[in-house]
Amino acid sequence: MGRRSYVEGMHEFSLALSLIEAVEQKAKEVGATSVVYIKLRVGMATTVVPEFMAEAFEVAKMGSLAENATLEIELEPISFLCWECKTEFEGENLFSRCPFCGSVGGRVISGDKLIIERIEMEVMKDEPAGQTAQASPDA
Amino acid sequence: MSQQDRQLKQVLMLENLLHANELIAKRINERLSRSKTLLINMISSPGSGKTTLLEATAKALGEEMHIGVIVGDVATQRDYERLKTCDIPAVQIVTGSECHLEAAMVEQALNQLPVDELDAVFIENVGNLICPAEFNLGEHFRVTLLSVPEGEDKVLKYPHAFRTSDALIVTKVDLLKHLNFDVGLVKDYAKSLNPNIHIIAVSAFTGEGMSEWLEMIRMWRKEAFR
Repeated sequence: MGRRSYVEGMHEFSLALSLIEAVEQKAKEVGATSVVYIKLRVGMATTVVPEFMAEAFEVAKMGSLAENATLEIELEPISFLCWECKTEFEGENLFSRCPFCGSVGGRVISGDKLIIERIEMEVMKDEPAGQTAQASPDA
Repeated sequence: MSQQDRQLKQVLMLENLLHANELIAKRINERLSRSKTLLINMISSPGSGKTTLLEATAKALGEEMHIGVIVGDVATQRDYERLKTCDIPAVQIVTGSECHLEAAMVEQALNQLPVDELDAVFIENVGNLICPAEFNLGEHFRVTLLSVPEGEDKVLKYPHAFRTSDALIVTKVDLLKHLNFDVGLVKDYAKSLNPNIHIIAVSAFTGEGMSEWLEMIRMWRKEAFR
């Protein structure tokens, strides 16, 4: 895969490729001709740097069905369950303090994932919505 | 085909971006659980002593367990050559541009090991404290190493690997007498990320802490396949 050789030592690039693969698969399922918009939720407890992700996406999308797509990244705060007082609270990094008892961190309930939230695609008119396209040979 | 022939369609996906990796990781885990082969993913910065710890582990467990190793590096087969001299089956993955191992690479590497005859396989991940934390390799247990010369603050700076690990091995503790490094502080930081993490201070050079580490591997084998 030629696109793989671009950004060395940056895991955002391999994640951007996975994003394109997942989105292309969905586009093929519904018989879309292109993907125009992708919304990605990046949890603040992940290792992903949004700026790097955006940059990697611009390269990863080349030659794919998402070639002209815009990527919107939404940062998702971390939801903790406090280790000490068991109260739920939100924070922006893994060492956030519980506002109720002041102790550091907690079990991460959400904000530790990368979620493809929704995508917008171009489909041919008159094609019944949700119709499954023929499986492509490389799918 | 004109613009008028097309329309926009929105789809709510709510899909984990790492879904494909997770599926392969699950397959790996199931396969190794069937053959009762313990899989341990070892993460650390470059130079914190993964290969040295593995060499010492292979020597110590040689009589007791059949172990294999998968080694990930961006370039060279140096670690592979070192581990080969320990007389254990080893597979090198040269990732080229990738800063981490992914489940698909590990699955391929496992095909080159006599998995059914092995009691444990250690994955020496690419030396990097950040990226590997994001990728499940199907391991039963995850270990992060932090060497004394790196300093305590690495837990604060790169918390992800520590948060997701079952054990933290503080390595090169024979250097404690020369350096300012507070093991207690590292424990506090790591426990605030993950209260259940096991912390072991090891020197593969002097042998300190090795018996505790080996005992943990034995315990994990029981825990994973009971």
